[in-house]
Amino acid sequence: MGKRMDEAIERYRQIQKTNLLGGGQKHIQRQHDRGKLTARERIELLADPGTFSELGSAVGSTGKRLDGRVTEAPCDGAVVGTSEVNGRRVMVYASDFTVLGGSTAMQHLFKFAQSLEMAARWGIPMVNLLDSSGGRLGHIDQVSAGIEWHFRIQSKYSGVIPQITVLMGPCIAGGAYLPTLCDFLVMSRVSGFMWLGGPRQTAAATSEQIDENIGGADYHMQLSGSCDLVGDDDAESIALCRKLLRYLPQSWRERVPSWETADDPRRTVEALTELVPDEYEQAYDMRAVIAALVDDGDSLEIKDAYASSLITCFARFAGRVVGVVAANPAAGGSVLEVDCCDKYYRFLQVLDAYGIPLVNLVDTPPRLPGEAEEARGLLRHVGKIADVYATSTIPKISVVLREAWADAGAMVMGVPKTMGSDLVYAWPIARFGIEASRLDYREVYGRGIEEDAAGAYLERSRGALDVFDAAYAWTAQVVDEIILPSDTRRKIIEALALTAGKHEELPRRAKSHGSPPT
Amino acid sequence: MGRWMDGYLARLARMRKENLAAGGEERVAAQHALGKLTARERIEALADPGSFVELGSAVRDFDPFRQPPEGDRPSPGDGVVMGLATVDGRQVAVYATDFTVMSGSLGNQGVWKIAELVEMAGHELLPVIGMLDSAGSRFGLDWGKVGLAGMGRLVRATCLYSGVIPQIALLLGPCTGPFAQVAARSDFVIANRKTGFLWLGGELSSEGAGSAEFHMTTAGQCDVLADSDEEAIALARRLLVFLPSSCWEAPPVVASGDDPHRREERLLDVMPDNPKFTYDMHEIIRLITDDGELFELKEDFAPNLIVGFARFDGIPVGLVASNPDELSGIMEPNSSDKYDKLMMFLDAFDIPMVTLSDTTAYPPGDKWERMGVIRHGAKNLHGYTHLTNRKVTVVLRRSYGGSNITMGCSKMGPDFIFGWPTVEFAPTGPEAIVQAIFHKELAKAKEEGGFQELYDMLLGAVREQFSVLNLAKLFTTYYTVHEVIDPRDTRAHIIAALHASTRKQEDLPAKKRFIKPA
Repeated sequence: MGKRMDEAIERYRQIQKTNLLGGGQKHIQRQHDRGKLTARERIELLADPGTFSELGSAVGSTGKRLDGRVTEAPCDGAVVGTSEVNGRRVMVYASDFTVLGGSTAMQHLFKFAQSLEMAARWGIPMVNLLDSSGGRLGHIDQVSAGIEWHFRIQSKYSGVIPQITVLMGPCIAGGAYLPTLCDFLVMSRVSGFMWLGGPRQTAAATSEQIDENIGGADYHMQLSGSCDLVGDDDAESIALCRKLLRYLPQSWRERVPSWETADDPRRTVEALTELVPDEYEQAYDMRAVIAALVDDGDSLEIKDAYASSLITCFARFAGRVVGVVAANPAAGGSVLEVDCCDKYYRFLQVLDAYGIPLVNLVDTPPRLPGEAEEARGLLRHVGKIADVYATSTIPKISVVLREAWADAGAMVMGVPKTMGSDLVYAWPIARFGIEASRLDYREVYGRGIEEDAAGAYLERSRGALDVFDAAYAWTAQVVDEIILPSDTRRKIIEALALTAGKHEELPRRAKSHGSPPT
Repeated sequence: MGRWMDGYLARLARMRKENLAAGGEERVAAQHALGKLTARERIEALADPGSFVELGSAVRDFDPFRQPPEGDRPSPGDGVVMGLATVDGRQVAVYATDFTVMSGSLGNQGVWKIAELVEMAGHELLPVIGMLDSAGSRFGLDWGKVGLAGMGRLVRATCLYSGVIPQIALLLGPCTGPFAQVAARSDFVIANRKTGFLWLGGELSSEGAGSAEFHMTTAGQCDVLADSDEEAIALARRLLVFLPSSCWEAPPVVASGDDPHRREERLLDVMPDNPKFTYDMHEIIRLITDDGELFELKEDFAPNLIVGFARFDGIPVGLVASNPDELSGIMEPNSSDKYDKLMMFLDAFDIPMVTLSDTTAYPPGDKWERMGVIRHGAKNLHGYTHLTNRKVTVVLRRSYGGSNITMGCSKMGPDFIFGWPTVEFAPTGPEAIVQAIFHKELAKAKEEGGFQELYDMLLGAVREQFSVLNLAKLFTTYYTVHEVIDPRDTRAHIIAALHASTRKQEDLPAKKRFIKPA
């Protein structure tokens, strides 16, 4: 090797060495003191060992402070590259909080935006390990050109490749759109918080410690519905992200690979008749039912502490990845509550976008959301999820365990079949109804409704019908087959195999979307 | 003509007489006494004279196992009058539930009639107009009755053809139970403010819950309120003129005498001298659209954002405009929902969208966070990204934070963006920015004196930075416009932009479906 090469290689190695320290040892220590990991430590945990290939390691800042000073900013605070996760390639972007608070400036933004473009073009998922104080205030930077708003770029690729954010730092003002535009948001309880702005905004921008409860992981899980998964700390959050990726394909053009399992596809589940009481008023924990049915009792629940009347989780049947959506009788309430509709809406869009089958475990007690929910626009939120259910072309398999009432959620879980479900099985204790509502509209509305309306004809739509009567007529289109509870797992697996090659054409429309309720 | 044919004609005549008698004289009188029209009168008021071609008039509430099969009450059409008609020369499909027949309740055949009419409209590419006036359901699933399957079919049909044909609902009485979903699924709901009532079926206790007013101001599920059936129908006719018959056609161009080059001096007088004060955006709209016309939607829901239809040089457009007069024109979850619904409709039918922006965007605060303000902002920018119709943005004054992305500013993909010289682009309010960057200096001045002077000086400097007259020196960045225009030429520029983009083609990355944040 010649001298020039030697010197050049030395210069290259120096950059790599400097990059490892990010903003310096002092900042790394501060990160650790707060229970946070550095960008590179996080990437290490995300990636299969030794698989991280960095891009843009030589990038620095082209910005200047208002007083004219140029600041050192290795990688301009954005560590970007590809890695393998569970043997599959992903694109990774990690904001480096040790470098000027992980703040975004022109080079930083370009690295994020263009790595996303590359990921979308190549059909690999995008993972954002986010820990950034937001826009780099007090700096002027190079002019951008030829690049759209990065939020537009994220939106363009929504549904093209999975986009996941693991939030392990602040996320304020406009920056909060980045995680919300992703398919999934994982937040670290110890470090993640998201806040559109406010009096705290200033404090957050200067990296001061603020009250963890405001806009923290639990806040966004339980109250705002923006967060899908919560990890106790950065390491656990990243582990959750790795697990989540196993349930998603590389892109919309591919199927998610099946998992290996030793769990027998013909296993009968005797426990179900113990878990589910045959008295309709008695509640039970649907999670126990799910655990008994799925491969290895293993599932990944999404938004587990939000809208708890509805459960949305990923699981496998005979290795095949599915989305399971079920009511949770133990939580009370109704699956049609506005927040439940939103939760279902988000989850079902993901399933349909990536070709993942839907399994509904139906038990909709005769309870409807009341006035408070109506005031929030109940009907348009129900319309939203009905729209996705009716226009999704993934296999849709329903098992009615106990009750299926049309006005209480059964319709968006496949009953009747004319809503677009593929197979509806029902337990022997199942019963069906149209209107669970007890309202007497003569009292509530009056105005011309006939005096004897209730008794003479409206009652025809109220009242339950047991499954044997419902299944007696194929024309009712509510049950394909009554099954023994212990056969539920076997039947779901069989249904998934039958529908594996499902192909459905929808009426042509000029654009990729309709005009649904919002 | 022989006796044989005569016999049949006589029977047909008797059937027609039954149909015209509807639910009987008493019920018809009761309907009128309530200030309501009958189903046939409503269709008559909508349709061009003599154009109504009825379908399914021979249908009755027929149950072969009942004695007598047609029951003991008249049930012409099984309570549904429907068919084809023309409205101002345009082919449509129309149905009206007949309140004089069993209080307008939906029967087994009645619900299938409507389901098949919607499917018919989808195949024949006809707009659907539904006139809803129904006390609930009387269909069943027992003994194989087909009603529940029909309701599923109807709901699914409204989803499958959403965005293929316009679907308009006139709420002219009650509409409850599963059928209420059909109203919420419609693109537009015009309600009789005195008689309209929409409810899924849960408990209600407040006065006015479920009324047309409730749905306009609180639930956001009603577009226009009318004082009578006649007015509602007249409004439907007016609305229809802005719309195409299907997603494969352009809406009609309706020439007016209004000069496309009209320079409007009065536009200079609308904004107050002090930029802190508000003004009513309706005034600006009146000065720029053809004949000052605006068909406003959801006027009393989130009035901080105005949405509706208008024309520019005869070209129908959807108009979206912040209204500084209401809540300072902020953006929040309700206005986001209102915006999203219209923009998705406009795009599905390839109708141009014109946005007028003057807003401080999304406010911070716990109240908004709990409502999911982040998700809703993300929803709008995700939605805007997926628009491939013609998009023209005019920014008038403040353009802060999230509005730079959701209101269609530069690099978000508008076809053309113009700005008044009064425009200020900023990541957040200039006051907040001054505090953020210069908090140290200001804190010092607070102690040592001279705070107000320093603050005013800094604010002035920052405002100068963010003025469009400064920022527009760059063509490539996010905070810029295609051209800074004289306010008086706003109409002329919008019209020029619309004409230039007539043959526009825009593509988005291929995907099965997008994954919307909310």
